[in-house]
Formats: sequence, structure tokens, C-alpha cells
Amino acid sequence: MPVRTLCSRVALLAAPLYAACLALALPAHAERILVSNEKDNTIAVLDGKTLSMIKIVPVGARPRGIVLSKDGKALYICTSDADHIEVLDLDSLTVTRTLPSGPDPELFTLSPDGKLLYVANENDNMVSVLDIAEGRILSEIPVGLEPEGMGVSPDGKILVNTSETTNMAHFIDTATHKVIANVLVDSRPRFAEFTNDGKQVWVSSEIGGNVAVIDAAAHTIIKKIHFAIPGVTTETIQAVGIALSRDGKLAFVALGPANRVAVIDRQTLEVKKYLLVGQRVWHLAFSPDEQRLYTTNGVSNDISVIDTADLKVTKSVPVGAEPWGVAVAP
Amino acid sequence: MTGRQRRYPLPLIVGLCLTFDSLRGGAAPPIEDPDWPCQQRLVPELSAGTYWTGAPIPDGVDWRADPRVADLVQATVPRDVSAEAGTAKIQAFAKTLDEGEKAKTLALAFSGILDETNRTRDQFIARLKELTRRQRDIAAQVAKVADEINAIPADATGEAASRRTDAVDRQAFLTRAFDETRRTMRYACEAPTELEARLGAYARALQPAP
Repeated sequence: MPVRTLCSRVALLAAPLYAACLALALPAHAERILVSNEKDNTIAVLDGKTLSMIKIVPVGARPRGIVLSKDGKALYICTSDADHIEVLDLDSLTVTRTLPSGPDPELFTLSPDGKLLYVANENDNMVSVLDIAEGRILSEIPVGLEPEGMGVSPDGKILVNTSETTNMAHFIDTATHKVIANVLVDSRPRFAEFTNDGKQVWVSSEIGGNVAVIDAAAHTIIKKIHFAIPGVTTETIQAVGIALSRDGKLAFVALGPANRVAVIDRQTLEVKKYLLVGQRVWHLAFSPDEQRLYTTNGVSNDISVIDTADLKVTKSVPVGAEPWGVAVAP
Repeated sequence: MTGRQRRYPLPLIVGLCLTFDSLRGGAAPPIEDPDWPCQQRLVPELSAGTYWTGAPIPDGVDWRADPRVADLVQATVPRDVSAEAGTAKIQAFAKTLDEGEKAKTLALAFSGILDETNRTRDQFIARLKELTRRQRDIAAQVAKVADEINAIPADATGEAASRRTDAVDRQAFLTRAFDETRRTMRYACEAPTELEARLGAYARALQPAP
């Protein structure tokens, strides 16, 4: 019997035992790396310790954004061309539910209480507010053209959505579902991430090739972080995924076809280093202890593993055709 | 005018225009090069720094001057050479080199493979842009033919009816051509990416793993 199944049964006797059971039963490195393969229409599940493939799970067409449920038991998947969200049960590693979204869902974010998904629907200029338990859309929020990046503040009160064509970060009040501020950023914003303290929002711009660090209260840009890599042309540098460390010290930015991840000092907002990873690096996810960072590389069809202490790339592992999103289940 | 005049081509024109927009991948607005039809932003030229962290690439040295390198480039760069086959050739080539010259020669080989990959890729990019222009031209022709059709009542007789039938046939032909180009474009957009992926595999074979 798989450990997780065993622990689930133990948890039937006493709910708090689930985490304790897992902690005792699984080795320290037991995380599972989950990768959406955009072209294969699969989720690759890898063992975080051995980096070996556990299972390749077929899902709906063109899986891109993925996010882990708060209890770590499920993975939500934007299956963009299937025009819905799928739920992958991480115990059985099968898709157990399908949830509605608008057309062409690409990225989404989970409310801090884990109950709602805010989904960017690229093709209808709306953000859908999805009640996961009920499996229904509560509301549609009109935003700019081609919504994409989605971030929610740690207190859950503010949602930030970026629109690719309007080049804006829209700040949305989650209580009223109204846009309360728009911040103009550079061309084709792709990703938004709040800092842990909720004071900043980092927004990457793919064509602009930079990251805007936005004051979340004042709705003003504190700094635009630009990237320059010797021997790499500027149009190759396309900022996409962002990962911010919990300790507030480092930020990592995926630079697309530049095949680099930029490491940024969060105090000075200066680039410390560029790490050569696989080709067309899309998105990033930390291991639970944040000692490793995993990157999806859409052209070389692999993930790279970055040691976040040494700031070195330690390994690359093939995962499938056109890996896009990544999440790590503890 | 007797009877109802049929103005059916308008939805078709709108459809074609929408379809033409969707050729841009449904995501990328025409921000830079209006002829670039693919979703990802056009990177006009692949640069060494994107792939290479091995020994410095010799400056001002023509890779063609070393026949061994020239042969390797010729054996690995053609479109029909798979990444696996090319990588095997590179690995075999590396084994023939003395340790003293290895790093420098492999860097030179990378510069040759990069040059030639860019040359092939340029041809693909030019072809894609040509396809975009062709689509734009077809869309314009469809609009023109639609005007012709609209100018002739659907219940026209004699020579007018004959002209109308001819215009409807031309419209059907143009629409088929448009659809075929659209399908071609979808696959053609993958070609530059495939070259990039293979170049990356070659770069990894030519330099030590990080």
C-alpha cells in the first residue's frame, strides 16, 4: 500500500495524524515534482530525491498553469485547449474532477484559504472566480486584453492580474471584485507574485524583458529590474516565471529563450548572477525547504535543478514535450 | 431590385480576418515584426552566449579553415539530421581530438554549427514571413471577391449570373488556399524551435555539463 494511502487511512482515525504519518514515513527528500507538458498533454510526476519518473499522467489538451492545493493532496491544472480546470488527485495520481473556467485558462492562483481559484482566461478578457468545493464559477471579473499573470496577496484581499496586450497589472479587490488600480508595466506582462509580507508585487514583462517591482499599497513601481547577459541579444531576454524566497533574500526570474535564470538580491534589487539552465525556461518552483529550485525548459524538454545555497545548476532531467508549469508537492 | 439580395460573404470575411489574427497564436499581438506569425516573440538570431559556457570561441578564426570542423558542421547541421544522430557524431569527433586542442576545437565547432544553424533558421523565418504576407494577400483578395459577389443579386440571370458563379468559385478556391496556408503555418512555426532545441543538444555535447 502506498505510504500516502496508508497515511490517509490513519488520518480517518484522527485527522492531524496525516501530516505526522507522512513526516515519519517519508524520507526528508520525499517531495514530488509535478510538471505540465504542454505538447504531450501530460503531467509528469518525479521523485524529488532520485529525480526519477514516478508516473506520466494524461490530462486534457495543453496543460499549462498548475497549482497545488493547500493541503497538498491535489494539483489544479489549467488545460488551456480543453477550456477547463482538471484536478489531479496526488494519492491515486488520477484526474478525479473537472472544474469550469472561461475559454483558454492559462494561469491561476489559489486564495490563501484554499477555497477559491482565480483563473485568467486568455480568450475572453475575464478573470473567473471559481469555488473549488462547489465546482462553479462565482463571478467573472472583466480585465484587460489577454489576462495572464495572477497573484493574490497573503491576506487574500487583493488580486493582481496582468493583461498581455494592455500591458497593465490590475489590482482587484477580492471582496467587491472591482479593479481598484492599474499599474502600467512593460510589454507583455506574464507573471505576478506577491512578496510574503504583501508589500510588493513582482511583475515580469516578456517583451519588455524586465521585472517591475510594484509597491502594493501605493500602486507605484519601485524599480524595474533589467537584465543584460554578455553574448546574449536583448530580444532573447524574455522575463517570465518568478520565484521569491520566503526569507526575503533572493528572487529568481526565468528569462525564456536566454536559457538563464537571474538571481536577484531582494534588498538591493540588483542581479547577483545568471544561471545557465535548459532552453526556453518558463516557470519555477521551490522545494518545500527552498534548498532547490526547479525550472521548466520548454524547448530542451527537461527541468533544471538549482541549488539555491550554492546558486549552481546541479542537474537536468527530461520530463516530456514542452514542459511549462511546475509545482512541488511535499 | 427584385427579391432579396444575398450578402452572405460578410461573415466569411469576418471569419477570415479573425482566423488571420488567430494565426498569431491567439496570444501575441503584432508588437514588433508584423510579418512574424508565430506565438513566441521572434528572436532574429541565435547567439552563442545563450548556449555556450565552454572555452572562449576563437575570435576571428574561420571554422571552415579546419577541414575536420567543416566536415563535422556539414554532418550535423542539415535539417534531416536528428539531434541524437548529430550528438553521436559530435561525441565521436571529440574522441579524435588531443586533450591539448580539444577545448579550442570544440569551441570552434560550436561556432560553425551556430553559424550554419542560424543560416538554416533564417531561411525558415523568411518562409514564415512570406506565408504571413501570402495570407494577408489572400484575405485582401477574398474581400475583393466578396464585393464582386455582393454587387450581383443572387437571383441574377444571364451574363451577370455567370460572373457571380465565377466569383463564388474563386472565393471557394481562395478560402481553401487560406486554410491550407494556415495549417502549414502551424507546423512551420515549430521548425525554428526544433533547430533551437537541436542546437542546445549539440552545445551540451560540445561542452562539459554544468
